Amino acid sequence: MPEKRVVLKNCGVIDPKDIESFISNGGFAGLKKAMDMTPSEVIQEIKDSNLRGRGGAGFPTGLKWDFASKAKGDEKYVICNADEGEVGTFKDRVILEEDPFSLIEAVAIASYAIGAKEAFIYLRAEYHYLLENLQNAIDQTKDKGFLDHVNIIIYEGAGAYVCGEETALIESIEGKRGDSRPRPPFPPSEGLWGKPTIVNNVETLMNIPRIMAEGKEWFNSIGTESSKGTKVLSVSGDVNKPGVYEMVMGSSLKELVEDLAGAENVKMVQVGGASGRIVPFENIDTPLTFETVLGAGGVLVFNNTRDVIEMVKKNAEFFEEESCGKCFPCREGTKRMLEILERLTEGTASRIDLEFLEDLSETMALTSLCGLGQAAPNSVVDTMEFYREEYESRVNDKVKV
Amino acid sequence: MAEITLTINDKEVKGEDGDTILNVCQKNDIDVPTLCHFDGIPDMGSCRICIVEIEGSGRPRISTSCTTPATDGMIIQTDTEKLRGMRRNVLEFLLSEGNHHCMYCAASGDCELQDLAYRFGIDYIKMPVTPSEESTHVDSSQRYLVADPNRCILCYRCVRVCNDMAGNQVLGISNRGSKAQIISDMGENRGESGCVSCGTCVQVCPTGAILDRRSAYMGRKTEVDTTKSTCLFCSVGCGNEIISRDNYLIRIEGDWDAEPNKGLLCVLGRFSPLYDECRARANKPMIRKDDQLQKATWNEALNAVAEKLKFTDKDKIGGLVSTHATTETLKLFAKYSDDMGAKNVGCIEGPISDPPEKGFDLSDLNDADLYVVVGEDLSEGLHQVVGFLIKRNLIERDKRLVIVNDEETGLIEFADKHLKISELDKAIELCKDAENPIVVYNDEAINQVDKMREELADNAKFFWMPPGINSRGALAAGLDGEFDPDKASCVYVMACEAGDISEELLSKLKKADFVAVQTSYMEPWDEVADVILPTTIWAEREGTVINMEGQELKVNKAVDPPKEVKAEADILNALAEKIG
Ligand SMILES: Cc1cc2nc3c(=O)[nH]c(=O)nc-3n(C[C@H](O)[C@H](O)[C@H](O)COP(=O)(O)O)c2cc1C
Ligand code: SF4
Ligand code: SF4
Ligand code: SF4
Repeated sequence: MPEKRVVLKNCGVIDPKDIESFISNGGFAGLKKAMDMTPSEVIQEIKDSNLRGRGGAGFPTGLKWDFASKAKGDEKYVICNADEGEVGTFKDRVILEEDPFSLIEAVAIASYAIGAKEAFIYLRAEYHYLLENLQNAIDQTKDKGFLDHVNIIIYEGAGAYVCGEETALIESIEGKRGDSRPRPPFPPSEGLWGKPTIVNNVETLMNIPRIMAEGKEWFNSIGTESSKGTKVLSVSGDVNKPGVYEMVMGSSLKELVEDLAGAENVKMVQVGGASGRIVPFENIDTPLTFETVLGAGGVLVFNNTRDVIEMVKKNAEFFEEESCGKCFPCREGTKRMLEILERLTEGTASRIDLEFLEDLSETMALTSLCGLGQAAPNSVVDTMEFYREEYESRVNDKVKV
Repeated sequence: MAEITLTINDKEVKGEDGDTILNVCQKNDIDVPTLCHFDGIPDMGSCRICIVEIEGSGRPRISTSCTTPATDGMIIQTDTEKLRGMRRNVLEFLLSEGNHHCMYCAASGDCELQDLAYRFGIDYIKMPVTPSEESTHVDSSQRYLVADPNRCILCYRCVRVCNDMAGNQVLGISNRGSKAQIISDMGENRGESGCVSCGTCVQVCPTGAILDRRSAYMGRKTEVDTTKSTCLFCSVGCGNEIISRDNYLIRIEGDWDAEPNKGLLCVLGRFSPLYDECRARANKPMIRKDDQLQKATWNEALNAVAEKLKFTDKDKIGGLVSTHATTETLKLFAKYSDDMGAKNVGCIEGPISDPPEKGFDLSDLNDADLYVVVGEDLSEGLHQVVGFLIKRNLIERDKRLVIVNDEETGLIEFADKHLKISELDKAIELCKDAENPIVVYNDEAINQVDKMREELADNAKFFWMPPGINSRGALAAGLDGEFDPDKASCVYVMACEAGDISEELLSKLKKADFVAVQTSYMEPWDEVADVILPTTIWAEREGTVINMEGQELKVNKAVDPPKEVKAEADILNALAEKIG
């Protein structure tokens, strides 16, 4: 079950600046089909395809659309999450760069399905250079008459990682500070300006035109029982061939990391960026599914020369910097976590520090307001499980408690 | 509302559809600790202290009770060992983050963080105390309050009230994560920012991070007396709580339960009476002798006034009243003037226009989609709280504000349109297009409003901002006439706190043969009075007033007046007795 091009089908094949090349490669077939169906038939099709979100949480996409479509209100919104801020994740960038038309087609289908007249593409600040490309795709699609039912607006982010979190992203589009909101209410019932809103990842949406064109049966035939389709993964770190790979769901991590990306002497792999889980080398056969490891698809490979604590500390630095500061356990927890890891690397950590690190990780994971704080301790928790001795060996017993 | 049944801590309890879990707990006397929650402001679920465990398939889910809707059949635990442990951790985070040496903190004893620390038995902190490296200077630039970020726990209560309740849009947050800080405007010192000194932030801060300068270290909640009353500085009639200790006034707070203002106050009601009032108190009766006001006994002073009133032609007697007075006193004044046959009687603020026949309800402001403010300022001077109630509604996308005024007013920066009086027709058109327009006006704009009323009939609501405080009380007492100083040779003034008197009126009073003033303060009356009769101030008064809405509101005495000061009604009655 190696590579398969579903999402990336057009990448490197079409001219991303020219709608004709897109159309001659099967472009808009999905949209045309969708427009011949009723909105609820489209939603049913997506539900039956068993597509799940590719932005990290794996929520069933059809169900999300269904909630929004049934929610009361005549104004509804579609938001494409192109904030891609997760460390080591750059798969959406490739899509935006090489196949913007499919994304516009997908947004058009989603808007038709839930009845949105306005849609937003929330573009990561660092992807500003893609703005023109994307706007050009919207304009050409509009000229072809495919966007009569929806107005697609590109909104540029301000460079905060947390703004990728859907409620923070919504606050940001509303012109407010990008802090996460408590959920419920979930965006499909109360989202942008308090109106029903669906937020979907770029890659999730890319599957939509394919499913519409090829059918749910086709999509269901790819992948495993509960993880259908493919997953686009960006591999970096200690590998010979870093880059973006699209794998059938259920493929093993080994296939990706060793066979395709050419990694050697692997010590551990982090799947899902800085907030991802750690897979030690002995588990390298782990299949890539929602139930095992996946996240947003950033795969970071560490070889035997790497220091576990240093790597975890780098993660902690990232979260300390990116915490929005709204909820107390994350705001203070990320800071304390970093302090303890710094003490460990400096050799001034006491035994109590380890206990506290565990305790604090649990408090953060269970009580933080949004996914940032909840997932920030992941790499600490996993490495403390798999590489406990590395922590123990850094404790300085001379430090008075 | 449908009733729902939940099981909390193994007990069956009832709630209503729409309640949060915290609401249900509060209704059923289940004590869930909270920190960022504050009754009446939208919850944001940031402190995570109010977490509870919700049973479901698999492990219990941990959620904040303040933001999670209660649903029928939920099974909840609020006080497990695990929850207590996590709450303790969060509290330790907070205590180690800032300067929480309670011994030196003015909030000690009234601090919600300190209370929780005791409750969870935190007597030492596992982690080193490392306050944020960001510069955290104490901001003492504001006249009435001090903000100390070192004691701030970033609960955002102040931000939420400043923006969402008082509509002032001053406070915000700078930076992210542990470097986050509360800022005013774009980071100005609060004294130089757009802060309008409403003080709502002081009233909600759970710690010692915002202090009322005057009342800091003056006594904890358990050591002071609290008297619910009504603000006597404009006709909104905000409910307040007067905080005093040993008959000494310490602080004024808004009353969260009061109808017109729901906890809000403006600078005139909260700070000015205690910080800015620096006139000398009239605290003994005085009689002018050899062109000097000299101390006298009550008997001498009252006799002097009674003699004059008795032997002056009734057409030459003038009466001037301040609407700081209660309705009861105003009625008494009106009665005695009538008894004497004095007709030249009126309010210090001048004649009062015909008020709208019906009262109105300030809470209707929340339902309007268009506000047209004619003549009034609402950003300084009187009725600022009405300004707050409008501004906070403007946060909603489809609500608009139109100012009709030839002058620049402070509300213009919040407005969609600023029209000149000559463009009144445009305002009328906008009202016609709106679903639920409200016109806010004062007596200066009475002609314009008459025209609007004619054209809009029942399509708009009209909110009258009376010129005085208890103007409706004065109307109820029949004191709607105009006092003409040129026709009076003997004038009796019931001034109370009134001090903002025009030079013109004062110079005319100076020319009168005799002027008696019943007043709380010497200024400016010591220039014109032949007799001073010292009377109470707002905090010493008892009775009722009628606010702009037409509501009768209770004024309660918080402190006793100085020894020789008498209540307004007592003075009037004593005089009447002497005149016979
Ligand atoms: C801190 C944080 C950052 C996130 N960043 C992104 C992101 O950059 N892109 C993205 O698609 N989803 C991101 N998410 C997930 C979104 O909240 C949301 O679940 C997702 O956009 C939903 O789309 P999907 O259902 O199509 O996966 C992030 C979540 C968290 C907690
Ligand atoms: S803010 Fe509260 S906890 Fe902090 S020092 Fe003051 S009393 Fe103590
Ligand atoms: S005093 Fe009022 S305006 Fe000033 S910061 Fe506090 S809440 Fe805002
Ligand atoms: S100043 Fe007070 S109210 Fe404002 S965030 Fe800090 S602790 Fe909360």
